[in-house]
Amino acid sequence: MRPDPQEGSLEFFDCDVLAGNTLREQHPGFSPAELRAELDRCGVDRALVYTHNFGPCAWIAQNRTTLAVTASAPGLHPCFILPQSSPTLGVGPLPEVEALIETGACCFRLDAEVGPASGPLTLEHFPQAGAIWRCLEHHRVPLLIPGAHLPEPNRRFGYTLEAIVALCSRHPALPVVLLSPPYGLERLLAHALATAANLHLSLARLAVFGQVEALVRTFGAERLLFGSGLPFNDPAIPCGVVRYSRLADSEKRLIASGNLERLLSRHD
Amino acid sequence: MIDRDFFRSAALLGRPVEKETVIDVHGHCAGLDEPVGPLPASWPLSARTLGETLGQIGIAHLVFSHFDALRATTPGDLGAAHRDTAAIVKAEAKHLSAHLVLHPWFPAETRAQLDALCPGETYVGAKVHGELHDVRAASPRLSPLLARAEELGLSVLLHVHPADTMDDIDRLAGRYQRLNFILAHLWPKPEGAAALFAAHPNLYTDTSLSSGLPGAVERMVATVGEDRVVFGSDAAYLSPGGQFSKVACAALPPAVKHRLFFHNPLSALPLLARKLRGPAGH
Repeated sequence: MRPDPQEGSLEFFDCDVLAGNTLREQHPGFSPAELRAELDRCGVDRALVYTHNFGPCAWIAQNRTTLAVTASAPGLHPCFILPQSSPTLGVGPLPEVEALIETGACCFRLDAEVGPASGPLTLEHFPQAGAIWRCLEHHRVPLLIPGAHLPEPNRRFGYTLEAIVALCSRHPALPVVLLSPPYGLERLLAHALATAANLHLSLARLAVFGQVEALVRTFGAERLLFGSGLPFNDPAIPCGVVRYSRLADSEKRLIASGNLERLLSRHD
Repeated sequence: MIDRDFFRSAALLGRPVEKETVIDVHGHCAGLDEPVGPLPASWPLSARTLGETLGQIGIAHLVFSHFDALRATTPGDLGAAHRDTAAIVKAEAKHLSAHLVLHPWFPAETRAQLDALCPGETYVGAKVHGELHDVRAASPRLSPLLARAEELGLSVLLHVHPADTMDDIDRLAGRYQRLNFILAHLWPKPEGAAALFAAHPNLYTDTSLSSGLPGAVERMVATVGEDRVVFGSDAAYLSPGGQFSKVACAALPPAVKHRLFFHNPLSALPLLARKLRGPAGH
């Protein structure tokens, strides 16, 4: 269990956690109770959680499971998978997105659909893409975009960093969080942050010495969010990067939880 | 009675470890002080900067290999890096010792350095970077250097070549049985590691890795044994805070963490143990 909060302890709010079965060899995943214990092990108080599923319109099952998971353990909050297809053929998913926002969805995450008819996830090539981005921008609902595959697209994630920056530029009021970009992309990431003021990075894999400090010096602490990438990454590593960073306590607090709280509270 | 976990307590608060000694077998730096002029955005390399960061965590001693020795492309660069290594250790002897870079592309200069060194004074180990130098563990370029390191009692921190296999390391560890090898970055994968480590008591693995699955350290301890895993941060390449926290927050008993942070590094690096304990053996 976590020790009692002490003077100087940081509150962590994780923006990048997958609960339940991953259906992947790499790691089988954590039940809600196991997940809670794993977060406690590293002193992470709260987490935005999504779940995995398979097949066409998997987002329906994913979001339903996510609600059940987040209701079953303390400190877990739902991160909804953005609908990119409708269960009704010939109809775009905008009504589903609007309905989720009306019922309280305060953030969305892109996830690649896994199935025999599924192509790679893109930022533009799905029905009503432009209208959906405008909807999220209008409501200031943050969009979380997986970035571990960068710099090159792969068979699941078919977009580049340039495409993410272009999306940010077209929708400057849309808060975008790039999840788990690899540390080796530092220069490309810095250029992206300089180009798109609404772009943020989660720091699961920004583990190089002084990297977080350099990004804060250049772009401010407001652009970095704590995200662990559980269960595919050990949260203790990014926790330690933040706790032992050579930053002011106020900057550490923003990165650990303050920035995510701010983004989640901005929507209408 | 439940032992208090001073490592995890420190990690959760971002404070230095109290009442425990942490030894780091895997680090890098170049130069005693930060160079004058434009700096890389996120890569302070100097021994002073490294030392300040280690102090924030409570790492009492770190064994480093010189960045410029690793990336030397001329014998002159290599020689300059060796001289700088000696100056750094002389100035920071309490907190820093060095691995001599066994540079496969400059074997004569490396051999001369091996012949000139006093074991345990500046150097307590040697570093082989198979990936950076594109050299396999079994390469004839390395063999005479490893043989000399064995004669001198140096341990070898080995970053394997991507093509090196467990069979390669099996043959290497068998060929140099009095040479301790620390395999960098939690190498190998646990599958098959148990047999390899059981066959060779001179093998260790260090914990440094920029990212990894939760439970990776615990699985390695369960696979190869709690006496064969040593703490390494890879600072100042990686953030030592993140690397320390990974081990400090691992689901392991405090007594096992004590082995990883203190006992095992000294076991893997006998010359460092002798240096830190002093001539009287304390």
